[in-house]
Amino acid sequence: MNIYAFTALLNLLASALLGFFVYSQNRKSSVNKTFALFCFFIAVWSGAYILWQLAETQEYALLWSRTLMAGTIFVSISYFHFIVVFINKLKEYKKYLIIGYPILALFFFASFTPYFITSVTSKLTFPFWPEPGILFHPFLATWVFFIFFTLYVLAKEHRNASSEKLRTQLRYILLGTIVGYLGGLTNYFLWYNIPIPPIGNWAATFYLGVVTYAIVTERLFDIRIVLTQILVGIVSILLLINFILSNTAFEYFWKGGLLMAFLVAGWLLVKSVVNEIKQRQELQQAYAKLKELDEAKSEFVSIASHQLRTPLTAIKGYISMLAEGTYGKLLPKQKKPITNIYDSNERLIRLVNDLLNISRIESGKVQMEWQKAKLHDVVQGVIDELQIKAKEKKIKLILQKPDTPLPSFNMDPIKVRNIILNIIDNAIRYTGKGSITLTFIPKPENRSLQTKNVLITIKDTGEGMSTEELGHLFESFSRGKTGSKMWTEGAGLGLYISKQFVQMHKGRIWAESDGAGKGSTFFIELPVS
Amino acid sequence: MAKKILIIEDEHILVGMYADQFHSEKWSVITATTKDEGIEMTKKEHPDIVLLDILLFDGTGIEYLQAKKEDSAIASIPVIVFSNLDDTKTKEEALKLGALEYLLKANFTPQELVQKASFYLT
Repeated sequence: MNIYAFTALLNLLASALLGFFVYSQNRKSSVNKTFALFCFFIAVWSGAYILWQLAETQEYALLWSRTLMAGTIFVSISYFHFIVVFINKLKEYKKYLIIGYPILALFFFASFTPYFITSVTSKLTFPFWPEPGILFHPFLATWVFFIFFTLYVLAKEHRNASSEKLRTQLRYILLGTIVGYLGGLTNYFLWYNIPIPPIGNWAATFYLGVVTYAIVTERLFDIRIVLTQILVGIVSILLLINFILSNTAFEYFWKGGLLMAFLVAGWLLVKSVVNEIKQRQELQQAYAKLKELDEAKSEFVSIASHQLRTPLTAIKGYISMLAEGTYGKLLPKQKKPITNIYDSNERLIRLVNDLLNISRIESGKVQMEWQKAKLHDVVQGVIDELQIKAKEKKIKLILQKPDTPLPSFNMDPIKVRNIILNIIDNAIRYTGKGSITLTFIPKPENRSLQTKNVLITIKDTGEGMSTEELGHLFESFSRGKTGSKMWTEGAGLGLYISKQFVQMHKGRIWAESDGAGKGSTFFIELPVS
Repeated sequence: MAKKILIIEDEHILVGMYADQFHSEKWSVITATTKDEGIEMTKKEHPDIVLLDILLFDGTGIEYLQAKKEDSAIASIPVIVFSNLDDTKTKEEALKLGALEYLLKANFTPQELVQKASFYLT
């Protein structure tokens, strides 16, 4: 076997295995199908090439050289086809395929007639080189056209590639195509009596290698499976040849054993790679599904909140107008039920707001809106808003300012306001009589040192809490055993949300109480930066 | 002269409720229930201020704000957005298109809304 036949054998093996595995991996994908089709024509060319090289008579050499050309005819167009499918531009270039395939098919039918190859003669080291017939020249022109057109399309795509990954991939394909076809073209010089030896076989091997390397990324197909299968396939064939060439019974025995052992190991190897890739795909699918569910949940909560708020708005509006006498003066004994309806409705509105907030916090959709703000202004705003409510319950709401005013610092003022509002609102609800005192002091207290934190203290003279209650205070009602019992009292989800907001500030929140009936104190520590 | 407000809102109960409160405080009230009607009424009536809902039958309040902004004859009329849709993106868009405020309906009584509207006209 000469070097030309040997390289053709390499190409036959590589293209047949690559084509087969790529196709069997995903029979529905047009990328896989067109690539397999291209591999098929390379394999026909390579197979006939071997037989042509091994032919000992003119007759056989002519037959196999014609078969070789029959395979070659579709190489450049099927590669073009694969490329346009790969870059997802089939629609744009379809017309070239519609015109190209029938024209080349005509040449294919002519390839076994003297119009295509007239005879074989001796040239350079080749005893039987084919002589071109009249149709060979237009064929070669069409064939070369598709080569340059493919290069043009690839270069254009490479220039406009949307991502770096795709660009790199296209660069390899372009390089492989240029080298492959430059080599491939050398196969045609001798047809025109130009004494340049054909190196197309080597180029084709290189080209298959580079294209395979280029498609390693997931865009085309999972190359890990294909490469593993090819490796196992090649080693098995070599071991089989080795086995057949045995001379003694002992050789048959151990070479046969080796082949069997390798087949088992190879099968396990391929299976494990397939499994691993399958698992990864399943994980990705599960993750995508989870994300979808999460979004559906958020959307549901958002729409449900909107729908719930509309009737609540109407109730709130009409009740407040009734209470204020827009529809006529109320009797004194009607005032209390009206106020109770209003308060209950407010609780519902707050609950809807809290649910929406929690849904957002838990899906990570709440963003911090950092800005420099004065804590004093934020606190004063809350005190002003709740003062009326405190007065109605005859509770004193006191703000003790620090000796020296705190500088403004980075915070999300809306969230800080929400935290303090929640805690004071709760304190008003759970304090029958007495006072609620809010203080805020810089930490460390020594004024010559730089302020690191600010500690806000909200102390009430209300119902107080047991140790057990303190332990579950900042949980949402979906957590903790005592939750359902505690929250039916109506503390809502405000404290849970407050804790989330404090944590988003990288601060701390906690509560202390000397026990039931002895009042509670809430502490919020926020870092100053 | 009585101040004139245009309420663009598709919930009839809410329209009636807000209209009642504005009437009781001696405002002149006109109403629209769709986006298109809202634009038409704004052009025709030139209200002092507009109270605008976001989710409407034929589009969104955001579309109303865009259309209003492009029409120089009505572009300067102040708008308060009031909606029960608590969505940060919509809120940002509304404020960017010139809305004075984005209020969550359920958090305000009709009296408070009248106060807000009066505040912006003084």
